[in-house]
Amino acid sequence: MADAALSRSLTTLAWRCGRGAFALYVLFWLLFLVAPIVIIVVVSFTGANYMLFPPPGFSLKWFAEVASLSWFRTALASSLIIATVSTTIAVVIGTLAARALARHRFRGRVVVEYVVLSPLILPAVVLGFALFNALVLLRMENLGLPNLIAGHVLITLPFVTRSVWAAMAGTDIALEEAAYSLGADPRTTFWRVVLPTARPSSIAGAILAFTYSFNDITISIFLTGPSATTLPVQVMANIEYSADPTPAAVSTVMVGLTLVFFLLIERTVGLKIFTER
Amino acid sequence: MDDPRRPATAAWLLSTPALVLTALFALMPSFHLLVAAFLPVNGSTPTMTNFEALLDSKLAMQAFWRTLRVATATTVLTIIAGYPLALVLRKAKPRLAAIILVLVIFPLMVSVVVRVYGWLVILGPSGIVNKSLIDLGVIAKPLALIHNEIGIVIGETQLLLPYMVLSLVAVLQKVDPYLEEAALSLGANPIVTFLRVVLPISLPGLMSGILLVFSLAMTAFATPLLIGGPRVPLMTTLLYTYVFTSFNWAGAAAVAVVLVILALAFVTAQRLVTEAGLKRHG
Amino acid sequence: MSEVELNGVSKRYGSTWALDNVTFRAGQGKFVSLLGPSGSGKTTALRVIAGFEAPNGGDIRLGGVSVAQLPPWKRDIGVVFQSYALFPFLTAFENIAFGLKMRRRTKADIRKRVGDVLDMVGLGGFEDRYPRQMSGGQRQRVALARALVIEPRLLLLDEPLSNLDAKLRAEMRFELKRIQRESGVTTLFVTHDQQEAFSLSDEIVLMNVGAVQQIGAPWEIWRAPNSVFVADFIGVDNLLPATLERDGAAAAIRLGGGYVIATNGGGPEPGPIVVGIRAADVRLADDAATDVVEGRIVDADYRGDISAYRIATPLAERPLTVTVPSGRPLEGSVRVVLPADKLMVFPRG
Repeated sequence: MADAALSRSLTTLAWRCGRGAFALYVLFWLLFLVAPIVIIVVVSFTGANYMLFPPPGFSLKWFAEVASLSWFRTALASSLIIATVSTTIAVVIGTLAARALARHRFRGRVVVEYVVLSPLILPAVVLGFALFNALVLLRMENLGLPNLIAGHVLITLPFVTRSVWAAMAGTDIALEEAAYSLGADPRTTFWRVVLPTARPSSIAGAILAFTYSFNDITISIFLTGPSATTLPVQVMANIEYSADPTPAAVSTVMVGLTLVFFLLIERTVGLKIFTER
Repeated sequence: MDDPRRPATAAWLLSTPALVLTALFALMPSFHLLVAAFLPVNGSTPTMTNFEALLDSKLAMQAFWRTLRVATATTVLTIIAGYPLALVLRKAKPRLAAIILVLVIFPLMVSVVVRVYGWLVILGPSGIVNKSLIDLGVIAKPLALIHNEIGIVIGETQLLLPYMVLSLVAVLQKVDPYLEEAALSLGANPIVTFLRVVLPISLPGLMSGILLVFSLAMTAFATPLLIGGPRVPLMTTLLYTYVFTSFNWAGAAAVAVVLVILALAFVTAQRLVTEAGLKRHG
Repeated sequence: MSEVELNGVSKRYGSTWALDNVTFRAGQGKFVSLLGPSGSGKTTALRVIAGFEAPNGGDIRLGGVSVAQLPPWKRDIGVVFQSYALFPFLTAFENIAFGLKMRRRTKADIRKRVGDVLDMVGLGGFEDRYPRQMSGGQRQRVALARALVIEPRLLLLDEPLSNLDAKLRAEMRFELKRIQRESGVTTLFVTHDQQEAFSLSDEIVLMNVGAVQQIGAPWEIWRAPNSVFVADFIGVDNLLPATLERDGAAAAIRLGGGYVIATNGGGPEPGPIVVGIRAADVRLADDAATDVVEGRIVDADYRGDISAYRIATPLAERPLTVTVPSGRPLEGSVRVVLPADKLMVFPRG
């Protein structure tokens, strides 16, 4: 009798320990995911002149330092301009293409799908190198911003197209038919019904595309030059050449911006756009 | 409206700008690269010399095998880390699940530079890990955790773990929780239920995630570049070196072609797995 | 308000004919149901009238004028979809005002009309609610209001009540009838629910596999279904294979087990037929009756006021279904009578 009860309690205890160990294991990996980011952000507030963790004192001096650096201001401006322009292009052109893909049945539709979404499949390294190679051939490799914008369109356009396409395909076509029956012709319906319905997901897609463009290294590294550069590329160089926490402060600025975009997406559409395929 | 009167010209008009931009910036340059890979340095007849040169180059072959090793290790790590994470996400209460989801998704959005920089600080010779281990007396000399394959694997694991988790979450969402309750009521304990009910149903999603992570690991560039350093090139960083250091653009083109073929192969495999999964489980 | 006519309308998808030479007419101000099982083509007919699909043949006329060439936004037809299709990013007011905006009414005019129609459907005060803030029944009424406010020539309703629970359905049926009477708009109502169609309609168009089976007022169809399909659909429980024999002016129906029932002349050609009789029309025999059929009770179903019995007879393989006012429960052998004047005769095949 007592033996049975004892073995039951031991089993329960074993399960409890197992569950506890499991929880610790999962916690470890969660920390693993955010550790590098958290550490850099924390270190950027250091009062010391070296990258020390934990930082000995709290200070904002490295942010002041960064704000005064001209390369920072230039690179930040470039990155923002590139991201804005390439995302805008992506939204306008991508929405049109998404409309065709979502609602029109035409021969060659598969071709359009494959072509427009191909930059998502091809390795970024290859895209960067290919574009760079082509620019060198045309002796255009030093044009600066236009080259970077062209490269970044490859990041933003397929992404936005896919997002808007999914949003449009997911809406009830009865909404458009309802608009027709109420007297709206196709153009009016597009402006007043199709676009507004796809708007939340499209906005989220645009924000994500902007973020990926702003934070990109792989394609940018092939296209930067003396006339234009991006913030991530500059930070990369800065990490190699300086031992002080300057790049950490810049990183914190970048993380802060990314956080803002993340919250924007979370508030407007929710994180479910990441989990739904 | 399936109105047959509606011409396809409208659709083409809508798609043309996107087609043109993509063709101009991606497809034509890539095609040019493809052609260049099959041309010898001085000549215009297609040959395989560039690819043969790769096979002959010790550096290139090492890079290839290293890429494979790193990708495999990364994929394995993402599975053993990602599956439990996905399971927890599935079962957790909404508030906890939201927090975990934030922790999984936010790193996806942060720039690679920042993440790698963080790893350099954590794993460097005077970094947090080494300093703690030395202070605790566990080791005498710092461990080499960066500028080598280990560092690359760690970096890529952190980069790609969210992808694995999200792939698994997507497929686990489709597993009917009542199935598990049925198994439990029939006498199976949680571990057995997992192995015999949840795991089999999630296999297509797991396969899809594996293919995704593996292919992303093989084509990752920024992480191996920044953590690995010049002494441990992968195929992607080798391409970069060929372009900017040794000016071996023919070799770079050949490597690019190999990378593209690999990427396409993985995407195709992924599609097949997803279709097969749909056929079996709907 | 106009009348609507379909003349020989056909619609093909690939090699299937969703509509096969469909002809019917709904008079001005009438409530007409398109009734049929799924796949019968009733929704396709609606979509063709609305203009969302183009027919392969035939004509559609509104108020005597052909509209087949007009796109949907020029047909002035109000549509209520099964999913309601309310614009999620607009309030109830804005949803309803949409059609009026397309017609370039003034703001003051719109405000008045929307207010009036919201009162008419019983949703006064709901102007600023979004669809996601409303229940299914409320959304349905907004969808109805949106279609009505434009004062269309024709109102099309595609199974608007099927997403509601039973109690709400019954309520909305009353509401729908009342609103249609008040507004006087010609209405086409698609449904698979026979009860609904019968209770709401001035006329019913029964459809099956793309073709019109029978057209008539509810009581006409009830009394005289014109085919086995219609009889079965409206709930004639007993449909028995039989043979019709004629001898000069006299005719007789031969059923299984050697039973023969004499009928007066009329009806189809001699040969194989299907005989129909309602469960309520089959009588339990008292001793004095003639033409009695011996049977054995195989199943009993107590339904409160009435009881339904399934009785195995030699007449056919399937048991007869008979309903009687509930009394002492019956069992064992019984004798039933099939009154000749309650028999319906249809050609077989």
